[in-house]
Amino acid sequence: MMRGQMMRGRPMGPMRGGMRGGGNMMPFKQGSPFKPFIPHLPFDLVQCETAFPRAKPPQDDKAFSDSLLKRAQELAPTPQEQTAVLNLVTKINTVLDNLVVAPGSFESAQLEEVRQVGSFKKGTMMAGHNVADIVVILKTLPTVEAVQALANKVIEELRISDPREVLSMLTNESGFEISSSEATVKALVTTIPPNLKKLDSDLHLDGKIMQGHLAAVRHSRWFEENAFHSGIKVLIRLIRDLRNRFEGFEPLTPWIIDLIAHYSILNNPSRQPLLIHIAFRRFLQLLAAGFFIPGSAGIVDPCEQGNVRIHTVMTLEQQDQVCCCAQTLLRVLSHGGYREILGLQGNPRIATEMSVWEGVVVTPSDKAYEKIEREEEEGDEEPEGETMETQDN
Amino acid sequence: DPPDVLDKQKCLDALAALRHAKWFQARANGLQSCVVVIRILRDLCQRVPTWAPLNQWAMELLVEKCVSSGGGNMSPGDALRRVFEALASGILLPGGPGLFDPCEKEPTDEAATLTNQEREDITASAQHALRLIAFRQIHKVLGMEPLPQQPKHPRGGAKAPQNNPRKRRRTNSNGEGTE
Repeated sequence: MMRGQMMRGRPMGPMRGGMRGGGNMMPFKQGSPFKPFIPHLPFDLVQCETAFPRAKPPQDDKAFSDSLLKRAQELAPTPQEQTAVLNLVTKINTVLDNLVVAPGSFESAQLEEVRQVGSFKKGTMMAGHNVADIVVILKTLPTVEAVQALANKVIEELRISDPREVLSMLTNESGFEISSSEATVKALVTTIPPNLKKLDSDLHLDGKIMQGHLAAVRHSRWFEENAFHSGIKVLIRLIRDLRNRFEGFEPLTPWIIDLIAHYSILNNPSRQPLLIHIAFRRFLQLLAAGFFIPGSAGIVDPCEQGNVRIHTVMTLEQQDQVCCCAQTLLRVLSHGGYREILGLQGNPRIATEMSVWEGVVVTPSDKAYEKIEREEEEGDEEPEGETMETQDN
Repeated sequence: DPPDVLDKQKCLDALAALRHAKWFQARANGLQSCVVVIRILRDLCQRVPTWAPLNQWAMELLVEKCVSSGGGNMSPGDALRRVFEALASGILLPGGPGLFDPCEKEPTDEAATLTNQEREDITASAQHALRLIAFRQIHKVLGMEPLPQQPKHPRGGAKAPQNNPRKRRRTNSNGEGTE
């Protein structure tokens, strides 16, 4: 119980917000030259449809909607793939669970908790990407040796239980991974939050990666509680597919995609899930309207302390890039280019090349962001140090 | 028609103009930032050929809809940004809702005369303008020189500079780095 609450609670490490010290902790004083930052909620037609009554009949979306469902089906893993991953992840989860309850002779590390996270757990795995993630939280410090020993122990146990199965094991900077011929399970090693302060980069796994794994536990819990609607999962796969095919969307992280898909489907006045073609278009509309650019409220991370807007993990250049890409794709979509957007046919480079749709010439959006040279250096090591956005805390 | 009456269409246009003026008085005039933004956009329509096809009545409708739906007390800056956001999100694109004219009996799209290429070009231009505003280059949208920058950290003043106002999350909390 305690453990659960600790994990659900906020991150312990030196994350942004609250830990800054000095001026940032103070509320804005009257007469201060620094205006409080009030984020602006970008235009969203779904939220203000009453102000924009339709002046012409809506277009027929059936073909678009059918294509979306077809594409979504292609992106979902087959039952065989699901089974292959499930088999491997279940075995490994069992071995790890046993090490939590009854470590026996295994003394290289103490396990606190084992949790499945990531796209397999959430039900958003993509076809052809048969990977499941398990976070292993150690009670002891995550030394490189401990991780190696744990990996050896797990593979040893697996081989005892099924000597015929061919498995390979690799350790890496985030833990280790075990692969069968059909599936891979990544064990993401981390440690209990009080240990994060004690990490030594020469001895232990990287602190930021450890924090990331703890965040992954929070994300997957949030997802379970809030994003179980299947439309959200379908939309997540469709957006990930866009990200795989359009370079402009490359900066979107899995967590940003989860949250924007949830927002696009559910965040509307009726609180009823929107149909997939409406939500898909809305995703592009939101991004095109600058949902993830400076000044926008965007989405506040529900799993972090201190009003962190999720798009601020992207650099300003990346925010511009993502917005550009969405703007171009939205225009292509409105001129009937949904097959190209979904990768079903035609030119795959519509986001970066000029294209023509029934005589209408669509020119890709071009970047607006320019690095502003600072007049004086102030020891600010942040590469993107302009006051583009101000954290409101 | 008898030869001594005025042209029917001109009469209808004049009556419509009267309705528009009444509407403007009732809806746009008192709305904070609305008139300022309309004036800014009229300048844009005159200065930039891409925007010329948007007639004044369509522009007034668009701005009023955007500003009135954006919650009260928007500054002119926020209101202008919101209009560009609405256009950037495809309000005028084919398939969008169009601009419903509240001064006509029959449902009328005031933007109906725009060609698809004009819709495309206005949208693309608004999209770029929106990003210019977000990335601190509004002067390019307004066609003017940038205002002189105020010193960010007034030296020697009573206010101490805010210490290293770091804006960006430095710890990456995206756990599923594997995907």
